[in-house]
Amino acid sequence: MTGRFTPGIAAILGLLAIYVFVAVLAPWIVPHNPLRQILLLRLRPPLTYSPSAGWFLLGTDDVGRDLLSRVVDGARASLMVGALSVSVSLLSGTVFGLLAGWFRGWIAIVVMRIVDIVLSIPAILLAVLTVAVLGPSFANLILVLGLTRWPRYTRVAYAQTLQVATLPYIRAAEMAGAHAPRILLRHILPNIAGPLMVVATTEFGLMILFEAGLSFLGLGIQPPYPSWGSIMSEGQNYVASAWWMTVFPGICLFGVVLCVNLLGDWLRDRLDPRAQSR
Amino acid sequence: MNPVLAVDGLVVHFPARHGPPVRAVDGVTFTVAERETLGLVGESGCGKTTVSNAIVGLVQPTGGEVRVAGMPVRGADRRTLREIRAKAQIVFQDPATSLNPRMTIGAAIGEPLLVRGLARGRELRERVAALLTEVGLRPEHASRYPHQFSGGQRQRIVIARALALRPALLLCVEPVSALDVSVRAQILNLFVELQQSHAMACLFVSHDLAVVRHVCDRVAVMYLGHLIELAPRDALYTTPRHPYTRALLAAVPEPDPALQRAKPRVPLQGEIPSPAAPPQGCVFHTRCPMAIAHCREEVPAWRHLGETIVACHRAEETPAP
Repeated sequence: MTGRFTPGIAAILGLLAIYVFVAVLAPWIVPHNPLRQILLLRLRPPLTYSPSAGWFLLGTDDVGRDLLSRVVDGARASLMVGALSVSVSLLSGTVFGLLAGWFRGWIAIVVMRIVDIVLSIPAILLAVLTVAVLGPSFANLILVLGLTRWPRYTRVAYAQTLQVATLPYIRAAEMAGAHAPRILLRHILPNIAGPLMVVATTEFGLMILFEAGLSFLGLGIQPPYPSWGSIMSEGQNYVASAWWMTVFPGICLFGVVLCVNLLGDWLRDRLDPRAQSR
Repeated sequence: MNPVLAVDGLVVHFPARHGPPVRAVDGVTFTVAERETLGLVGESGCGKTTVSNAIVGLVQPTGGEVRVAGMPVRGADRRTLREIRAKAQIVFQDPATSLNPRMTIGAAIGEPLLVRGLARGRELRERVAALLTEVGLRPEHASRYPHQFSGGQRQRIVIARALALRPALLLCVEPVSALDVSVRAQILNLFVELQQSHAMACLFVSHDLAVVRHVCDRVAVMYLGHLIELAPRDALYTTPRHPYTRALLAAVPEPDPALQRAKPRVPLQGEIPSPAAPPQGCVFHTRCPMAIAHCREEVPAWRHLGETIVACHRAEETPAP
């Protein structure tokens, strides 16, 4: 990975484009209604054909819903949860980390102690509390994930900012007469973006899995609406007899997380002028 | 005529977590006149870098007074400090870390002009191009990143950025000590040229006496936070008055082996004391080959000997050079 535009990165971008395309067009391309249950066709394996209902390419789940349709429809919820919650926590976590690292003193003490407190609260407990107070909804799901995950970015941003802030080019920017917002955005942020990008891309996959856990507890995407996580957690009861319920959404999840991680590595190098033209 | 820089009894103490504060700079007084180059020399840790940082307000002085073009630095509010930094610019030691690796050098050089609203757009580009030409680079280099340049070229870029605001005073903190010997002379000659063409004053901080001799009009010698000798260049190099200055000069290697063998050796005993617990009396007495009982008790006062100002009880007893 040198930040160049290679066939490999083109393939990754292409695959991600397909994911997004499928997620957006889900209501129009699903072969069956993802919510329609056919109880006579429960737990059918992939490539099942029924004269009355047609093909079930990936089989059916425990209440006879078409798995392909559910995976396609679930892509929307999963990708939205991943992208939105990472954006929320990345943005807020970075802002807090930058401010704490730049101003230090009592601001840093307050921010970093809040970080410690949030990290010490079990995420599931916080999620249960939030949903109990606000009620389950998509927006609250994003809120919960943002609330529990921003400290990871804050820690990285804080440590990196402390380090970069001591470098002579920051002194030079002060000598130039640049004010704090400019120093933070133009001089520090670009130089701490690499590690933050790495955290964000690993968090993306984690967020999709986290949503699965919350959905399993009934706190995330509400049944009967599908997400990859909820399909998998429903399928785990049948993993010995109906492997397809966990394997196919798992493959989709694996693919998108891998693509996002590779894209993150590439972006990190792409944003670093030193990695190019060498 | 007012001096460009007046440092009067500057004191900078850094509080230590345990024990007494570190007395990095303890009563330093000197001035730099217009167009003059003053060399500030001393070994590592003697406080010469802290002096230059205090002059531009990057560290807060504990006591004393610093005036840049008449403006007091101590207790200056943000606006005054910004004003002062337009008059006094710094060139740092290590050009590798003095430039933001994610910023084109054109943006770096133009930054002082841009953030102070002095130029923008086309005018900014033209001024950056002029600055690049002035330091011996080409205008089309503006769109490149620092890693695409050598150490010497990067120091030229740093110098161009420092010149952007047309400062009256340039502080050069070890500007060539991170560079290869082969490019040092080029950068030093560039300094001398620019200083004349811009009519700048310059405070040249260095531990390298050979370099200081090449560029400076007067030389100030520091030891353990104190100024111990201040003299015009030729006087300092031919008749050093302070035993520490003599030891420093004796340590400068001569290119000619015959001369090197004939040089007097003044090896210093022991290590530099901790600035957190400086010795009583003359700070140098613990390592001074000429120290007497009196040196341990009384801090030597500043005295004029010819053109030299020196703080030593036995300065008159200089051995013949």
